[in-house]
Amino acid sequence: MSKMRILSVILVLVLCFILFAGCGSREADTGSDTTTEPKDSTSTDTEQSKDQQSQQEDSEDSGDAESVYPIKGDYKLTYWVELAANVTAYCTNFSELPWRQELEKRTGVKVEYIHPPVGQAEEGLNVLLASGEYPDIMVYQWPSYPGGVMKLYNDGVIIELTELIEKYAPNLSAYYEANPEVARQVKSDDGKFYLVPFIRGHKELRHTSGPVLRADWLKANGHDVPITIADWEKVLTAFKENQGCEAPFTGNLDQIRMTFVNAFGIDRTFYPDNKVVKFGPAEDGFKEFLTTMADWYKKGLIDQNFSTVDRTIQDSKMTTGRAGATRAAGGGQMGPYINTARKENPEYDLVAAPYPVKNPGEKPKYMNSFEFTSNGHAVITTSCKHPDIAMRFLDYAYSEEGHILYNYGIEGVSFEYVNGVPTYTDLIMNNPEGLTIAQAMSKYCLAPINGPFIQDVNYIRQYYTMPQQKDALVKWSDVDENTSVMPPITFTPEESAEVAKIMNEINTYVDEMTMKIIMGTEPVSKVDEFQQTIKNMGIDRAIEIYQNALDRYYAR
Amino acid sequence: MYKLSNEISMNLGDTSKKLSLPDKVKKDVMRNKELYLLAIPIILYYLLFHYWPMYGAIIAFKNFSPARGILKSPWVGFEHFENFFSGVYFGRTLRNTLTISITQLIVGFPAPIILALLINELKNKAFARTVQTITYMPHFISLVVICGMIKQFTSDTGFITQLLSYVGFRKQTMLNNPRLFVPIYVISDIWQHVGWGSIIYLAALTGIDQELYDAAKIDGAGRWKQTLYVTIPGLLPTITILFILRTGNILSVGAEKIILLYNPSIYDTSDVISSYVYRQGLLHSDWSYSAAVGLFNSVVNFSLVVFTNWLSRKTTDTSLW
Repeated sequence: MSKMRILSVILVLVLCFILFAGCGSREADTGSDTTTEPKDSTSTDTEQSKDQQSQQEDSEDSGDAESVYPIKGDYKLTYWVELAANVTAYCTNFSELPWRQELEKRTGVKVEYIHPPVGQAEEGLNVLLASGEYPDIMVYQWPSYPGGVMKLYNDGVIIELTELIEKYAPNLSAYYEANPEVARQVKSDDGKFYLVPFIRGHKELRHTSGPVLRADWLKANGHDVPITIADWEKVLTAFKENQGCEAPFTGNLDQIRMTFVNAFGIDRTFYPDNKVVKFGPAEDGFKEFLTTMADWYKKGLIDQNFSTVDRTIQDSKMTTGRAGATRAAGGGQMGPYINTARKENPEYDLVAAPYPVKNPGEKPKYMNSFEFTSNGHAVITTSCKHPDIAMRFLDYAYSEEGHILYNYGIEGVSFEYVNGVPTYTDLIMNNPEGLTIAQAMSKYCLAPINGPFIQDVNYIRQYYTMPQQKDALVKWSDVDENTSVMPPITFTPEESAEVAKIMNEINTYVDEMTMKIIMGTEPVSKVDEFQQTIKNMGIDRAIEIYQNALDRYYAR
Repeated sequence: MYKLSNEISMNLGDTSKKLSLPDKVKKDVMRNKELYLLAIPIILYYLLFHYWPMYGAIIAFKNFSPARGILKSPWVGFEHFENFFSGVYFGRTLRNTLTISITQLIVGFPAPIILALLINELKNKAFARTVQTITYMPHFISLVVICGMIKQFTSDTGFITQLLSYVGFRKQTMLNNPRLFVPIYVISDIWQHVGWGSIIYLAALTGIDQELYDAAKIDGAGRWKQTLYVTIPGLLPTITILFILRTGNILSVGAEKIILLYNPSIYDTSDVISSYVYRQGLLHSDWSYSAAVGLFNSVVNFSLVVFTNWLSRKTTDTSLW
């Protein structure tokens, strides 16, 4: 009897132990202490941020505009940012990364990094905002935060940066002077700065996905890379007839649209035509687009099951020869496809095609993108005791030295100059510990992720190791320079709510009808009725809201 | 005589006079102190984590902003509800939600019961256990994997389409046909969860008194009559309770499986409230709006549970409360 007793007690103890073992101590970085100095009366309510800023300036001795690194004085900043997936393989906090340690050394500012739980940045952010105590610097995809930076400013979370930039960020200011259009993208509609931005400095960094085709099949059929819509029809037909492929072009609805719609003089959603907002599906070019796609679907040139294609199906079809062309990412898909498929079929090869056009000599319109995108921007919060130090710290990234550190890392360790071009060393490209290029790079620089710096194009030209990938970047970014996609406009919260309601209805309807017409369930003649229905659903009001935002954008 | 009984009743007190509620409670606590002590942490847990946070539902009537907090966010009254009800697709999404839910209730609810009855009839216990294990394994497969499988099997070259073509169905990508969405959704749901759901019924079956079966056999009842007159009535309390609870989920067709399976060409029958609100959230995240939709769902679900419970109490004797 007592043996059973002892056994039961031991089992219960073991169970309890297992329970407590689950309460790990990995939570050191989840924001329990978000500031380094004792909290005083920095309230988060309607305190005038401007007053606070001038208070700080008067009490600091960092009076001179020219910043000299390393910054004197023992300053410490708290920095909130997502833990990038690439580094989770070998570290749990950015402070462990060699390049960030180098950054601390060079700027003279100690940084305490705070990470939300991986994959739960939004929840972590909202909890943090509700707490009223903010880290000094926060890096996040602020444009997609509901209400954007204006909301954060009005709610008393962040401070306005225009004066700080003028006084303490000479490098960033110089960049803005040389690139006023980029400055316009970063500003808010009131003409002021609230962000320190992530900039994709070259067009090849902004077109990392596009049309790819089986190069070996093209060669077998004696065809060149297709340029026009007519070329594409020829090429896809040959894929079907000669290679017996069941889905000459595969992809889901979005990929089909993103590949072909721009050939018809429109974009698939809102776009600016000489500063006038238009909506693609409401324009004439859309009827032509639908007619062509419906025709191709009937001829079997488009995957008959495109409605259910997802990433895994797309990958599988492209690597097993069931599909001949698609729209794929250069890094994440093209490379892996070639590596995987060559194991079975050594002849397998992919080539990128430029986005198609209608007539030879044209370039696809309304595709040119902007340097300022959605992720990786920094704000300085109202909790920051030394916003001038924070700004100086951030400005280092835009200096010449900082630019190299952020993009390439430490000379002699992660890169060497070869013919004047910073070239990643074998530590990165052939990491002895078996890290992938992305993981190795992320240890020594920020280029493959995002953050408040200017991304350099030579990073991606080396990150893409295969010639097919490098060629892809050149082809995909070869678009019409005189037109562009919608610039980074901002809506007021009321506009945002109104346009979201209208557009959810219209997008639902557009997607439904587009699919049905392409698949032949509805005849192409329905397009006129379709365009009338969009009008009835309020597209004009949505265009009006977009136009107001666009006008405010150009007035920045 | 009369005076004596009065005296007696005054002396005896409790047994004939009606006790007030606080006194009743005090008596009960005194008698069962340990049970109450044991129950206090649970009650606290529910009060703290389930009842207290309910006040957060007021954000459905405000424009909530995490930085301002619940109390300081501005009031907007019924604005979010108006937005929700006035949408062009409100009618359709509500109709689809109800269709899928009610079909699941009518077709999917009896399935585990029938399976439990069938398994119960098996003489070979080893075979019964094997059947049970095999049928409840799909419950553990991830939804993403299941939906990937469904999409492959119902494509125009998938094996389910092939099988159906032998009985006369035209070969087509089944997920392109709006009329086939609800059957695909409900049948795959049954396939995945019928084994797991039958466990509770099998447990209830073991609770039916064997003597009732013997009595029925003596009265000349065969297997089928026994099932009808002993087993099913014996299961009825369990079935009723589970059914009432199930009605509390009528408006909650979860977005995940819908989003994994649907595509724009079948929005007609597959776009439900949760998937529509999800797409809207991609355009403009709004805590208050989703809170409003959630509140609407909860109110409807709650009323249905109360109604079903009342109905059940009136017609049978079983009810949740």
